[in-house]
Amino acid sequence: MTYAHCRRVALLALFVPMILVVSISCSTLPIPYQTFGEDLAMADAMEAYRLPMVSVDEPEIYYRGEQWAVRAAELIRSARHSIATTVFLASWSPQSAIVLEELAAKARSGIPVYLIFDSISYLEYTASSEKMKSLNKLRADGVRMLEFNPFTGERILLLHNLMLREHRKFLIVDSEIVALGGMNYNYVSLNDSSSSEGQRDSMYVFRSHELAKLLIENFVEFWNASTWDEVALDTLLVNRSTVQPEVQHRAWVADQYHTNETVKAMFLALFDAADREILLLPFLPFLDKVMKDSVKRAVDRGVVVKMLVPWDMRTENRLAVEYAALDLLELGIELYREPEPQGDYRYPLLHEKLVVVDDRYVMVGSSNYNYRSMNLSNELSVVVESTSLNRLSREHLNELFIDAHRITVEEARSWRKLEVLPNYWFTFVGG
Amino acid sequence: MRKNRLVLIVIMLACMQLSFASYRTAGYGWSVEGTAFLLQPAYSSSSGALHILLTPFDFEFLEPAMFCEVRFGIRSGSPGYLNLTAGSEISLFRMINHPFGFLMPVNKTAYAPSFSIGARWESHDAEVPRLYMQLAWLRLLEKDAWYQWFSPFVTLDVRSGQIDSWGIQLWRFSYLVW
Repeated sequence: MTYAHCRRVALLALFVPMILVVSISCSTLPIPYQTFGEDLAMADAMEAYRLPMVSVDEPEIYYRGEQWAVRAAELIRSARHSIATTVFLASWSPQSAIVLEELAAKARSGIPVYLIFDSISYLEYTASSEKMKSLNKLRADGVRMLEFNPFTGERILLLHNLMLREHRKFLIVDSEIVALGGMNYNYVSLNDSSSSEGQRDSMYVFRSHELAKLLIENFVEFWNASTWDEVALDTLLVNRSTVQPEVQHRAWVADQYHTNETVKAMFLALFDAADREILLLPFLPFLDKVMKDSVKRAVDRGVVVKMLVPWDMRTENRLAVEYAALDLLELGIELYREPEPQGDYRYPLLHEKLVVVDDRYVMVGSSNYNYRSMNLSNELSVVVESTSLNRLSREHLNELFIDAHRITVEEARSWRKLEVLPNYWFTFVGG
Repeated sequence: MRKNRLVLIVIMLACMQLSFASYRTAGYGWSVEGTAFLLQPAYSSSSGALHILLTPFDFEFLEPAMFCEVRFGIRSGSPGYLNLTAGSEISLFRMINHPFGFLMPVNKTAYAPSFSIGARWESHDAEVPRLYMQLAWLRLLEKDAWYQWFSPFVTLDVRSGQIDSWGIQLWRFSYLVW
């Protein structure tokens, strides 16, 4: 091999990756509002953002962790063909054992059970951290597990991936039943929701083969892209003759993984197509420019945007939200917060994510309304077109809003302190 | 000359297309190694390196990847740039069920020993590159990361045809992010 040859090989080895990096496009989402103007219909917006549409029935709704744990265990026990489930946080505790033991039992009986959870499960700093135990028993029972983006010494310089986290929460049973929402398989999520160590959250159970099929196809693609323990689609997916439920609703699905930005697209669609009012439980509302522009467009059209944030008992998070409040108010958002707890009372964290638009649409799922959920997390959210679900969700929101305190600009200004800025930035990216 | 350039462009375009056809085909990584020079022991070193790599194919056997690595370290008590290596890393085979799973117990890994061959330009004698060869016998793959430990290597002086240096790469971790 001559010097010239070696130099050519070296140049090739350097040059090709450079071209690759440059050629990977940074996609910018189209904004259909600019095309359609103020008459943009929700279905057109969803279609413009290429969000798939499915039919779903009227969902069962669970607002309490301990009730969802019992129902999840029932659904798992009823499985005859397969179970695929993904959660952000999974760990063994007396509360989550109700669900996890059913998963183990199903795996032992020979039914394929696939579980994805995020590696950050082992770094929890909530009350779960004092209760949790490893999930190794599940593996021994035959549950196929994928720990997403593990925190290990070898991966310490895998910087980009360390920021990307698996935040979806769903359970699919027999390609037919889909439960999705904000609850994990851990101590705080499945604890008594009125206890200070519990959480207030929500899960929705749909019966829809279309939705299940879409999610299983994505699950298999994601699983096989993440581990060598690959799974065949027909292991999890069974084709069913579609039995149409009595009540059917159109629903659009944002299954965001591999940073495909579908949840971001769904939020943009909602804000671009809203006619009158948007009510949000955002959890940790840290907005980037794209999100701010989207809110501004809606407010400028006369849409009322109301947002309720929790009184987070974790001071660091609460201060960060307070810091962000002024930005939200300047966008024209009506911002509310739960009242300060009195005496020794401690709120169970309001971890719920919910968006209600006009009188017809409801968005449920795992996604917070913030930068991290739009850009750095895998998320699953669904917009359902249903006046009945809309009404129920409004009633639920009204109960939360009834005692809430509307934040004023003066308050928000008083919260904007320089010493909170690092805290705000940390939560902006990590919250 | 024109023909060579055309071939180069075609290869580049082909690599780009392949990269879009599969998942995560390029990345970066780091490694730590110790090197002993047989004829010039003063050049022996302890070092760390950064590398980039491209793995456009998805073969179960003889899967090639290209890499380019720049190495810094301590030689005769002085820190500095040591060498540049470019070449191809060939996974000999890929095995899902293997006895080394306990080393990476979190998610299932594939065992894929590899043989690397390339050119190394030493800073103390950059005129003529050495032929670099490495055997990574303990090499585990995740879908987005490759890990190898205790990989022996040698470099040959192409002028004399003799072994110039040898060493052990203690570990080499590669992250496929694009």
